[in-house]
Amino acid sequence: MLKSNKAVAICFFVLSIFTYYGSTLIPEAIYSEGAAGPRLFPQLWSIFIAFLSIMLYGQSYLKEKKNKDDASKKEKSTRREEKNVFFMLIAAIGYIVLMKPLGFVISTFLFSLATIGLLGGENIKNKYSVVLISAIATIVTYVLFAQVLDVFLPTGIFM
Amino acid sequence: MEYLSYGLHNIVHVNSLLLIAASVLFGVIFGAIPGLTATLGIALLLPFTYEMGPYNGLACLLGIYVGATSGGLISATLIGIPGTGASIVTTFDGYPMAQQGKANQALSLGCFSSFVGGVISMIMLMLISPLLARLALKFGPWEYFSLGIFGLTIVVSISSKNLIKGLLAGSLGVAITLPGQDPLVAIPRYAFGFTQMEGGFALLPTLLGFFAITQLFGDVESVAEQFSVIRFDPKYRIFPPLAIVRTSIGNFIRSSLLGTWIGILPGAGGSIASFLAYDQAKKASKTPEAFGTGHYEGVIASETANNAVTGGALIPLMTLGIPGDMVTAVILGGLLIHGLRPGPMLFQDNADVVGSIFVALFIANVMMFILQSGLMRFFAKIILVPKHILLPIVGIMCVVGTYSVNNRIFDLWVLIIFGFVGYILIKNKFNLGPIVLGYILGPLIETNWRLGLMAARGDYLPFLTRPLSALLLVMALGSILFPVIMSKFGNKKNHAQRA
Repeated sequence: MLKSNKAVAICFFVLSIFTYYGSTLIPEAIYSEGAAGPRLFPQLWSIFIAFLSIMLYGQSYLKEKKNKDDASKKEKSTRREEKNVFFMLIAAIGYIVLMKPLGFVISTFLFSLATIGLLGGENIKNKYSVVLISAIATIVTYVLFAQVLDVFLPTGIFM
Repeated sequence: MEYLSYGLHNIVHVNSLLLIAASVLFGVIFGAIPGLTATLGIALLLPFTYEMGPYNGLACLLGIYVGATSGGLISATLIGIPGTGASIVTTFDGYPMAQQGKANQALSLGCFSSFVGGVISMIMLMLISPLLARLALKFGPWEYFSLGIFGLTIVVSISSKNLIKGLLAGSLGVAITLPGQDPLVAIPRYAFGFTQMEGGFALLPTLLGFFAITQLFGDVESVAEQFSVIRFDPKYRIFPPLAIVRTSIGNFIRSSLLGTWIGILPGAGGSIASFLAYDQAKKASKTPEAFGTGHYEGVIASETANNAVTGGALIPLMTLGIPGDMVTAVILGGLLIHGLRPGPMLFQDNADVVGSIFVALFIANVMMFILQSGLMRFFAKIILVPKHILLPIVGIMCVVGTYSVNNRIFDLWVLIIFGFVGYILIKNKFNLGPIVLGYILGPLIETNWRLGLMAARGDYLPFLTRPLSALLLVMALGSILFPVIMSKFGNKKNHAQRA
């Protein structure tokens, strides 16, 4: 699902348009007009990205035409691999969203509990060990960073 | 000598030595565990060096660099899987040696070779870099612009099989530097009214995102992998047999010089160095047929060369501000964090920092040898820590590290988004090296392009007429065209052979 050179090429093309559009919003500086002004470099760069993304699209189109049969076989094995990645992504997003309201300690505990538990899958023989490891990981990181290294960490609504 | 006295004064303290020892230990662990790399280790520790000041902070980063580069040999020898890319070649002979019951000999030789390679390259760094820095003082903005382009193109051409993808990756890296403040006139750009974007994408979330989080997503795929380790002989010897060391002096020196030279070249890295050194050792050996079956000369060549890369790679970084590979790009991040701009002026304005780097690199190599040799049994057990426990902890460290710098949740979003973007790009066979190089070199390229144009009143010609600038641009063009021509030439040859 995540493997598609054509889709990546389109994303890069969109990025180039976005970069070009953004450059037109930059105010021209009075003392560095023209070629040395703040707009030209981003504009040239966006044109370069657009050119390369079109090349990539063309290259992928020609390649796909050649190897049409192999694509569907590869897709199945890739999807299985990607399940864990999507899970990790969702867990990471949840971790960031919950960090401010719940605080570092609770959100970290929940994050490690979910990720260790689910990534471990059948390798975990004792379910309680996941809770124990998550608790130890949370306490050690909290003590190390907040107490020893004096890093400010969100305390959340419970503190 | 002036540099050394500064370095000794700044680094030879109990605190600094303990910090180097701890970071070497951390580095060896990262190197030893397949999937965790030197780059990841350095990126993870980067935020925590903030508080340490430049001397200790950089010493820590160098400690991890040296430790992780060498640590790869442990898993390469014991389980036949290289802990880092640089130790791929060590598996050719290290693993067969371990299977033949010579794990101890292979590891002690590997550690000693890493030490020799690291020290010789550090000496080369001390000798070459001040000279190169003096030459680089003559550079104007035109030369710096061309140097930036050359640095980027050579990394693109060496690290990417597909040139278009390599160039796109490099361009993306440069594009990431566009949001924030204009580098010359301090006008906010690409903020779109979003105040947090006015500072641009900060260094740490960008580096950690593309290195650590991307790798985390990649490793999550293979989370079920478990390894079985070969056992040591009951009496573990720290030093390799003296007879072998004595007969391999030529191999040590050749591989060290080769590794240092490859380190200096942008884009090449530990794996290329060890491949070349291995090949040369085989050619020079009296028993070339034994290579690949568990021959100690192979382990020596590979491990000496890949550690010699460490000193070599610091030469262009320190003298020109051009990182040769991903690891040195992150180390450059470390210098920037402490307000230091690598380049020839570093040698004039910050001789104390330069000296500290020399001394810290030497001490890190000594510590690496002592710790790695002495704690080999412990490291062998570390490889067995299950990935499903390790990966979430690495993830938590990335989050804490990123958050600790500016206390902004925005940086955490940048971290995760760039991590996922990096993962998708890797899935589509992009190389992340050019992205990070683009991100590091982007401001240098843009600033000097505009400064050059301002100085020449809008005239583009000095970029082409100034000899060194022209030479660098021709080399940049050559580095892009060379792989294309070679692949066309290769195709023609294949067709001719088939016919």
